[in-house]
Amino acid sequence: MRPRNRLGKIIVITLLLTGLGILPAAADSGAVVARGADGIAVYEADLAAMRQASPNFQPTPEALLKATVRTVLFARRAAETQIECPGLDRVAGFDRNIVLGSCWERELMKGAKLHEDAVLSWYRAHWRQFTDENGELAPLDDDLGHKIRNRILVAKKKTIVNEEYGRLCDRYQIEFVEGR
Amino acid sequence: MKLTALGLALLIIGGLVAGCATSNGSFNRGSMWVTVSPEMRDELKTEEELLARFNQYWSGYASGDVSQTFALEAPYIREMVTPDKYRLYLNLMTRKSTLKAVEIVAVHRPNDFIREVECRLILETATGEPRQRETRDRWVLATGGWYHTFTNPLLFPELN
Repeated sequence: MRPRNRLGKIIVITLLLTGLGILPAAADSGAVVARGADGIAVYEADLAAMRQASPNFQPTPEALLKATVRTVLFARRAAETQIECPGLDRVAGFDRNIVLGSCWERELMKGAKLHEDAVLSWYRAHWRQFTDENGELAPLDDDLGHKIRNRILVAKKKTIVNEEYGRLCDRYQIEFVEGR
Repeated sequence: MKLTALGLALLIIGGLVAGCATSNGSFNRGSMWVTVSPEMRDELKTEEELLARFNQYWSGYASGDVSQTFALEAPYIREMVTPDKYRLYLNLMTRKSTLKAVEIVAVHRPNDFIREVECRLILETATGEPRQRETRDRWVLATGGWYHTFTNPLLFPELN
């Protein structure tokens, strides 16, 4: 059916643009589930997008909310600091937040500090792993030190990420909407 | 102070913890003694620092002082294990019995930076029954001194 009047044409064009996702639908984002300073807002639609991004992961509602807010906050920091984030140009919508958030996590891990004896104590405590069949202990060179450091950081990542999340919740004064 | 007197003081020490439960969760589990078998006394004359930390560690263990024992765990353990999870682990290890004494039976030295202290833990159950458990307690030398290490593949697979 082709609209004959101007109003009809406007309605059709609007519906077309909405269907293409260029204009947001009236209630597209859903209710706000968390908000903070500097215009930060996390919506129900973001929770859905987060859930969809990891279909095999079945978090509790609380864990999903925390992961989504964390992603938004990490994405904000990545954007603010303009860190290099490969692949960002290939994604849209909430996926951009996910990619940016991952980039920020990578940045956090790069700058993570360890106790001065963490690597040495691991190397010595696990000395048998670095000893060959002739009883020769491999030296703790830069390459081995780097591998051990990464291994320790993998275990420490959760702590680092949680601490940053806490810091950013304070920084941006995040409030969770009642009943979430 | 000569080692003999100091050694005696270090090796026979009561880990007394006074008072009620504190905000960090430690509580009075009575006194704990570290002793050394006669065969070991001469051999341990060169391990003064290790023995001091050994005593400190097991005193903390006996009294449930998580912060004391955690501080003596190897730095890599302190990086990889959160204090909360460590506290749960220590509570799990100590809930069924009280540590009354630790007797050092032997010290093995596979190299310059590892000590495996073979010891006998003298325990008492909640109903007052005596128990003993043999263990080989591992210590690693790093820049900051001797540190305790442990493995528990079930609870801490990341430490292997």
